[in-house]
Amino acid sequence: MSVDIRGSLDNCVKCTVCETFCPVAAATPLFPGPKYAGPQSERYRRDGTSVDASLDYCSGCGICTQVCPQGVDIAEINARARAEMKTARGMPLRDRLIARPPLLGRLTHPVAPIANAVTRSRPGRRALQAALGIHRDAALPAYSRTTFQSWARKHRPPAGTTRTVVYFHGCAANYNEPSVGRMAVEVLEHNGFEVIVPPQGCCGLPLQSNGAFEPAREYVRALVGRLAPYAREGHMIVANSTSCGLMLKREAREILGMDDDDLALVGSRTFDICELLRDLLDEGELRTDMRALPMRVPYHQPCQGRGHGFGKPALDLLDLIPELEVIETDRECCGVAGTYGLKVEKYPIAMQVGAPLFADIAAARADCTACDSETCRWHIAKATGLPSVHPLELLHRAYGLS
Amino acid sequence: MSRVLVVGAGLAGLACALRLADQGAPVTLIATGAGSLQLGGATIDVLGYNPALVSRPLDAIGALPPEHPYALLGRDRVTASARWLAERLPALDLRGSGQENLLLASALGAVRPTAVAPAAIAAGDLRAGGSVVFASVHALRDFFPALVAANVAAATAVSVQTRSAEATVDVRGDGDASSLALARALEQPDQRARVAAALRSAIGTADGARVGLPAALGIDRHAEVVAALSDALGAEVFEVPTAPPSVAGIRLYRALLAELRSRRARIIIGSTAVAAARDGARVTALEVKVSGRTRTFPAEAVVLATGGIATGGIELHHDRLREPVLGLPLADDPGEERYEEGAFHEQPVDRAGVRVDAHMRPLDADGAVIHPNVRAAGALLRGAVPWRELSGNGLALASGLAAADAVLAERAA
Repeated sequence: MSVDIRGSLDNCVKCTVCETFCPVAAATPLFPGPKYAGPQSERYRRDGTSVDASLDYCSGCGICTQVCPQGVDIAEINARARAEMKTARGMPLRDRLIARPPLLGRLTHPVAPIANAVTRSRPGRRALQAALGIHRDAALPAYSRTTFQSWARKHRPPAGTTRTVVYFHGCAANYNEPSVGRMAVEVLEHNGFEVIVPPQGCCGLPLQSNGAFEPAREYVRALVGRLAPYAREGHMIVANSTSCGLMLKREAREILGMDDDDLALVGSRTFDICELLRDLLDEGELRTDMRALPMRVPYHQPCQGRGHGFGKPALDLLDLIPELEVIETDRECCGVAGTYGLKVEKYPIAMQVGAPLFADIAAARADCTACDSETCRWHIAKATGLPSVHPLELLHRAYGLS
Repeated sequence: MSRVLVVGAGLAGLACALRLADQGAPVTLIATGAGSLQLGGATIDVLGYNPALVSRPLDAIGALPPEHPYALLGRDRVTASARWLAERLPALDLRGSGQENLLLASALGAVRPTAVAPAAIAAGDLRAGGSVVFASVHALRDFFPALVAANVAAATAVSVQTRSAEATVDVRGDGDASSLALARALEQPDQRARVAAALRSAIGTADGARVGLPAALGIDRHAEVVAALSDALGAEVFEVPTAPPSVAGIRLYRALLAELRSRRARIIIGSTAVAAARDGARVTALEVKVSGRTRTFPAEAVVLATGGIATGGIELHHDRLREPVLGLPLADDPGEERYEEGAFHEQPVDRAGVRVDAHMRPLDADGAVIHPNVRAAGALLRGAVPWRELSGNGLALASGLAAADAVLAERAA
């Protein structure tokens, strides 16, 4: 193990800063808070013994680790303890399914109209809740008939590119929102990049957050196998899902404990798309010839976005768009935390966690909302009734590309 | 593009970053975590003891030794910094100017002097005398109204009649509650009404007495909670600090951060500055440990507000102290003889820190400026003993703003 996660708990001085930020503990007494569930309980966990089932209510948003003034890896300690607990108690079929987006995607996209009809119908959702424990009101994405990969294979890059970047699109862009993938490519091309789209799989984050560490590691190894050759050639890898990008940068090592040179290399070459574009902006290399978008848009940075340590690059980019009024919301988490808010026993908590954000959005009288991670967008759109777009989509429009 | 990098999210760093952002400087705030404001009582202590109880802190600054940071900052700057905070964050409703210290009850009922405090805390100024009921709910396990009442009654610095009351009422359906859970409950009208009713029956008739409650009277709806409880209890209520988490500190931290955000400062919490790149004497960039890698942040100027020993601004090594970001020399390092008998005595290590000039630029042992574009502020500075003299937030605020002004002056030049 290259990173001593568990050892960091000795730095805990019980200052409670993590407790004051935890969005789940604020929403429900079922979760006693990161300090209690983390550094305090960890001392009693020996040889996989689990001491407190309330840990399952941690959504894994990671805010506790970010705000800890003493550098305790609270979220990582808790993620590992939760995985041990779930291994010991057995994982429900539901969690094994929803944690495998590529499996769901491959099964579903060829029959997308039927699957979408089922997930849009009340009887279909009642059946899913009864059979699997997926809450009938939780936001489930629609599946696209065609994948992003199939678009990318046919796509011909424009002439005149001056540099290259490898695009890690993730599962959602491939199976659910190929338009987001296409816009990512076009915005990058607009800024002079040739975009390479290698075949690729899932980053393993849903499996990790559901406590299935070994299958998650298999996903990571397969993905890294696809990306490492490019990283070794010096290419940058760009991701548009903040959570999947974070998995490669950090979580696969710090939560799954993977000590792998290729992973370290790929992680060190991975950038979030807004991070990359803002770096260009700071270097004076971003195209800023944008047309006006007279709209009011609240921007919510996903909890996982905060884990990158880059501030809020999407805000710096959206601020460039003439007449776009960007309202920064300042809430820790929308509640869904990947697959957490899909579960019948956790959906009400996810809605409670997101309630302050939804209230901010309602008060803003906005045209749409913007957010970087797909599961957050789906959850926020369902809860607010407003469309939620990736910041890329607004850039794409401002560049006149759509 | 290089930016002004402010390292640290305590009061020194936040005030500095906000002043810079207000003046249009491109600011990036970098901090390991959410800073220490949420641990403290949200009062601005300018000077409480020297070594006897100080009643006029701004006047008392003049009597400090020349190596004390206040001697560099001067009375005018300290006065102006307190006014700046009150005017910049009007929603906090800060009271007191530093002309005279307020005397407040601590979480244990000690009488503590402070210069500036939010209105609901300042309302507990014990110099006003009269009667005070200290009251709480039993579920809040780390707050003892009977102890506070007994200690305040026994204090010689003030003359106050006290009694105590404790209500038994569920908070959020839990057996125990932290001050944070209580604050959240009090923001909900139905829960607030239940708590208020239980407090009223435990207190009985206030009969003209002020009522001191744990500093948990709401977060976002603080003013509303204070008004509602005053109304329900038929008494002026005030807040007494609690063990962490400090709800009053959360209010202060959030207010500063919200202002920084509205200025579009770049705020990076959860990342640690670990090293610097230099071009001659100038620091050209900081190396910051971000997610899974170390990133270079180009710097036009750097303000180090990383704190003292407690927050990692100064590291303790077995034979020496070390400033970890730039390796700045630390004045008054006592070597291995750091401590002496007596928990309440000043310790040999207490005054160690970075020596600066009037522009907050770190100096070497010969008094020469080390890096022309680096400033230091807050608990990192040498010469003060904040825990003993009660000067922490006052120093943080005045030195943070002084560092910002020095950067702004250099930018303008």
